[in-house]
Amino acid sequence: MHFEAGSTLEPTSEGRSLRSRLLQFVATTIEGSMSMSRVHFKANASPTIAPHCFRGMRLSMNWVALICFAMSFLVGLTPAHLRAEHELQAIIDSLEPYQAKSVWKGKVVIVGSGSVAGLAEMWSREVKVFHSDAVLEAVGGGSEFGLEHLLTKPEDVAAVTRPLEQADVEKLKSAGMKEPVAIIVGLDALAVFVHPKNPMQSITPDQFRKIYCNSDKFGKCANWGALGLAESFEAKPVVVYDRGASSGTQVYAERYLLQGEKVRADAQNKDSNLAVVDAVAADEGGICIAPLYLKSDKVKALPLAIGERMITADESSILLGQYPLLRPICLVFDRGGKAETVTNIKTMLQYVLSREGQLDAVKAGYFPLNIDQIRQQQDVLGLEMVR
Amino acid sequence: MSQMDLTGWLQRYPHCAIFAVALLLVSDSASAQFGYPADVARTRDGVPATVPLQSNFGWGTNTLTPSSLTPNTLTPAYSYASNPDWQLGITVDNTTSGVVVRGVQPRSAAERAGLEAGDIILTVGGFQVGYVDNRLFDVGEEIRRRVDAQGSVRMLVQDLRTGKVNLLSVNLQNVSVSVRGDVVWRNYNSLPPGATLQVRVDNVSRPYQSVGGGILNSYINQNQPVPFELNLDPSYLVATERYQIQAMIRSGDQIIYSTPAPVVIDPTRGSLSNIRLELTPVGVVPAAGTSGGNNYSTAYSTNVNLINDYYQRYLNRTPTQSEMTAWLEYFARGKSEEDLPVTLLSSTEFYERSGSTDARFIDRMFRVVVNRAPSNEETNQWLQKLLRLGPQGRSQVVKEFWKAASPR
Repeated sequence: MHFEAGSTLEPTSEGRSLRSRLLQFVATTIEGSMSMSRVHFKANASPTIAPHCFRGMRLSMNWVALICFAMSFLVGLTPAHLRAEHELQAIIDSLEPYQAKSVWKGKVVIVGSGSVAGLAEMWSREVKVFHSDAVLEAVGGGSEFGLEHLLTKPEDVAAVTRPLEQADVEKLKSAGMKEPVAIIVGLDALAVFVHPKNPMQSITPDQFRKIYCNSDKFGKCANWGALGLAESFEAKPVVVYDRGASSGTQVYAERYLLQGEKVRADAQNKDSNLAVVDAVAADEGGICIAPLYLKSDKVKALPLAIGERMITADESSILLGQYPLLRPICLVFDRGGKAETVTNIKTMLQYVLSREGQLDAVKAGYFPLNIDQIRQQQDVLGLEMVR
Repeated sequence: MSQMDLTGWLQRYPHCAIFAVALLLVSDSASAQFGYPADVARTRDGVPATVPLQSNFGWGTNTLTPSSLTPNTLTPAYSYASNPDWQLGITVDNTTSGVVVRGVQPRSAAERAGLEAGDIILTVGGFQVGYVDNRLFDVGEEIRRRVDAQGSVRMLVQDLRTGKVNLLSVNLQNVSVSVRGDVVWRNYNSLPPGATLQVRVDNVSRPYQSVGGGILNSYINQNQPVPFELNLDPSYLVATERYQIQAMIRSGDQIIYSTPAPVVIDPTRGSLSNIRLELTPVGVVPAAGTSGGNNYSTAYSTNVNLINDYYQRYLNRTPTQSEMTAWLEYFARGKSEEDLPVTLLSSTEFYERSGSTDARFIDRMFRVVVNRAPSNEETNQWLQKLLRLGPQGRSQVVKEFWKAASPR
């Protein structure tokens, strides 16, 4: 998607949907017909309507129109938004319920991200119904702390909020792990936010990199005009609000969204995700990345334009597996470790990847995987399944 | 045609307003359909994709990320059946150049089709299976997407022995246990638009054990009886356990019709048919001896309101559909209502919405739970607790706070 220089990005009447135009015509019609007198109506009646049907009726044509308008709502055509809900429910319902297929006797320890520790508490309670001897302990300390912990205690599980890299795998292998694997158990969504007055309708990866890096490599972007915005936004400076180099969101953005490049030097640092979003709400030229759940009426979450596809920042795109700005919540363990430990951990992960385990993750604030993503994790786990 | 002309025309032929409104209702759905971009990017001729060694996170790969637009078990708008489980009867190894058959089950559709261990399935229904661009296209899910109503699907398979690639048309085996019947309800009022029907099979002996394939949600209109078909996964059915079926019609956050009592069934000995479920309006006094679905029905809309209310008050937003489903099922299992606010207060989102420091977190927790700001002393007390308990101490602090704040 590109913007022609000088073109306005305000929606034109051609750009509005068929639906909104029809709404306007019908509204005008109803208004018009209600305001017209009976005499005027009869004078304009066309012979082709078959007005004989109404000749005997005392009701005027405008009331007939109004009644028909009201009755049409009982026709029962399912509006698109309700069907979308239905499709979303079908995705959620396609997750497989848990059934105990293996044994969990003994303790599994998860170390790492603090928020996953909270979720693990819920798993621990819920899984006891199926495995009464199961013990699950969780300790916080952060993703990196979790991975460090595995170097000395390879029989435990690390909870990290980013994908596992080749370098991590090598490090774990050199510490004695035979087959370190990362199982994705939930998704954290990020979104690109701009001010509601910003006329951008979507953003491409290239535009994002241009804005965030403002470098020779990706192109200079001092003002919104550099992206083709016109009129009041052409000269408006681009202001990137971010968290500063040490925050997890920042590190993630630089590594995966900017492919190792740094965020532009003139970015404004804020001390929390909420502060970053509030800053964009107050600055028409502002832009930021923040967790999707901080979406509100005060900011606009930009749809992503990737290839030929427009991907909205909402639950639907995420559950359909289309939305790319996701931080995976991974549990890392040694698939080649001691048999008994591995059985316990695999059983735990089977619960986590089941419908019940995924809905636990949802209650704790994550997005669930869809069935295709679950199948991939089950394959990494090495579960034998009949097809 | 200018706007004025059209308005005048509509005024002379006002019945056309009806057509315009009908068009309006349809156009919303039409634009939704046309708005979906075509499913692209996987090769249809079985040519294996090369696998770049990069993460799928961030923006994804530079080429279009392959994805199936409709989820595999998506039921069409007015279908009253859950999807049957069509199986080949194989175990597999997923690779970047197809799905290698590891084992073939005896007397299975795979054996009948002549598949052997070592054969490689390249495509199902024209779509590549195995790992493509770091993403797995599971052969079972692809079969579910591409199988026709009679259970047959075409697969491109590379024969181990000859090395040749053959296009096989395979008749799959339906391994589900079907439970068929219909639903009727006494029609005191017509159903509101958007009403949904849910039919469910539950395990009575172990209520926490859900039955795979045992839930069906669908839109319905006025026409009765409504046929339904549940395709249960037999691996969830245990011969010594008891099962029941029930149904309800919902509109928004209300259950308007439901089975007065669940009906006992035994799906462990094979498929069942001709099950008639008669729904009564919620609010009708159930017959003596039946518990009625009414307790569940009133609890249902109360729970919907409760969930909406807490998300709004604590997180300033409406819950997503996943969240609503998750909490409704949680409460249906008889769990405590206070788990909801306690979980929300312990969440990262709540912490971030408060401003991401412990002091601001305590302040916001006081304001949303007890409607006042904490005094300096109170703030210090709770800060000390948080410090003592360390990084995941927040959920424990929340539990203690909730207990302290609850009316005695």
